Amino acid sequence: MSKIIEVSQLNFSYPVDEGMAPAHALHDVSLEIEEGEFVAILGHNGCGKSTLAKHFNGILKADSGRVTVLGLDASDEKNITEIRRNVGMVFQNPDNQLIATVVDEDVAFALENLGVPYDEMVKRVDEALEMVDMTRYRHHAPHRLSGGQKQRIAIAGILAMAPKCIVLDEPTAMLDPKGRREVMKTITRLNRERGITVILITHYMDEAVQADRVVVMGEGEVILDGTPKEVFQNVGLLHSLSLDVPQTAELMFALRQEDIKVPIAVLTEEDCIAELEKLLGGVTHDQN
Amino acid sequence: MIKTEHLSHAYGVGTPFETAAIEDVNIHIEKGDYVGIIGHTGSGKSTLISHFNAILKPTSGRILIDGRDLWDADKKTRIQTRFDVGLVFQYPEYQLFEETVYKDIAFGPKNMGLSAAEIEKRVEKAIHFVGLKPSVLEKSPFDLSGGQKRRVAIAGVMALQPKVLILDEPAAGLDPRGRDEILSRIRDYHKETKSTVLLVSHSMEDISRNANSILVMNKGRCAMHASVPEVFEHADELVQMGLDVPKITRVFISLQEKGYPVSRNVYTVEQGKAELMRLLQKGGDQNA
Repeated sequence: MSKIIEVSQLNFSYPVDEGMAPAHALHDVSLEIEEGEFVAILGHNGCGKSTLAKHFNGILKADSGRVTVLGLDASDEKNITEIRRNVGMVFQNPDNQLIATVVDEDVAFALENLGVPYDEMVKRVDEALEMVDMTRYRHHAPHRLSGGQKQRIAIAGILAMAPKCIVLDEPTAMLDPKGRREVMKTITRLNRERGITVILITHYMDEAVQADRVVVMGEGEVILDGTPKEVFQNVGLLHSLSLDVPQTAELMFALRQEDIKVPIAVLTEEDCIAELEKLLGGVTHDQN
Repeated sequence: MIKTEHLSHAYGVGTPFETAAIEDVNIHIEKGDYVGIIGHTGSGKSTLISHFNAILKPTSGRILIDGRDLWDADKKTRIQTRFDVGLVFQYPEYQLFEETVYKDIAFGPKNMGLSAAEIEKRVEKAIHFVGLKPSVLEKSPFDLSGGQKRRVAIAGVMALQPKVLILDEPAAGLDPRGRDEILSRIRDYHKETKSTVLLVSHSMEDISRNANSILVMNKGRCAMHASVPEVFEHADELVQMGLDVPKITRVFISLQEKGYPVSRNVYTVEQGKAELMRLLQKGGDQNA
């Protein structure tokens, strides 16, 4: 696999009023993301995860260090169009991202700006709507859709550009449980079936569990980086970073505090049931 | 405390876009209760709560606060309702506007026509409830972090000392620590003031940790209104309504269905641990 994003020793501070000390939003961050990976980024509010994500498609520029996307230097203005075409971003509030009055026009918006020929545009819009399972809503008005549907339209708008990578910044924060399930299903499918690199910023541990890799940030630095199982071993550290672990792992952690021997990183319902069945094995017999 | 009788509300009455947002809602909220309100996007949650302090007028049906019909009363009574029923909207931090935190929190009490001494007392109490230091009072609200701003906005409504406090997704967009912090503050406020609290949330975990009863809205109608265990008993129905039950609840329901003598009514990690410890100790005794 080749590297789609390479960040090395990135430093960044937001501008402050004269005379005030600059606040470091990112401090010496180094990170490599492989093509086709599904990476979740976790961290408390203000830890720098959104700031980092905005470097992935050149919205922000590094103070020092290097960001390379598809081998292109993100600090070079002439690479920006190519980078943005390949790394699309989806944000938290779906209402701020939809502009047209009809769904398919909204999805076509970026293509129009890129000057894609009409026939090609129709083809790509069709495909994009298909990928997010919203074809039957193509003539609907976006503002009348549910939150989950709106987010899928926002994702389709990015997909129409045929990007190699999608960065989603808390895409489910404003959605109801069903909307969250829809969006998560959509992005995991895009990753598994289409090989699109997915970078998901989230506060929901249950979403992070679905990724191949979890990066935890704190105070502008990368603190942990590994598979969900590896990362969610560190219950104490995650708590100290204002983060949670999935409820199932939290339960295991609580049991271990009572000297009950169970593994910690139990991340799914199925695994949790299996572990508890092992634990309760004798109990059911005694009762029956 | 709050009672609705055949409450219905339609938007765009008399236009081709007329849609019923809520239909024939009959509920009774007891004084001092902590009610969690859940429902899919567009289920009518916000429309419903906007009736409780007379922001919306029913298209048909009645709404009674403390036994008094809101729309049968004179205007003065309705204005009083705005102080008796405090509503914290989604993302309330966008509504801060004053020069200092003190002035912002004092805005509501000032409109109630209270004395300067009383206003000061209320501001201090409110700031204590949301867990901010008195030193922030002289700061500009715009110099605070997102989480602090949110707390200032909530304090502004608490300073009205309403009999009913309604919060629409007060934890949306906050990291896990921020969520816990704000929700535990609201819990303390509920305990200390003995007021009625209504919490709208998409997080079944947050609802189960805080509320005594749950009101489920589905497609504009009240689908259920019962205690937390009674509502989460209907896991399959909730999923069909676009909702969910806490992950840990699903684990315990599965275990019970597999024949283990565990309770189905487990909604939090603490309850789960207690339930397992109870069983394991019992099993241990029998083995010994």
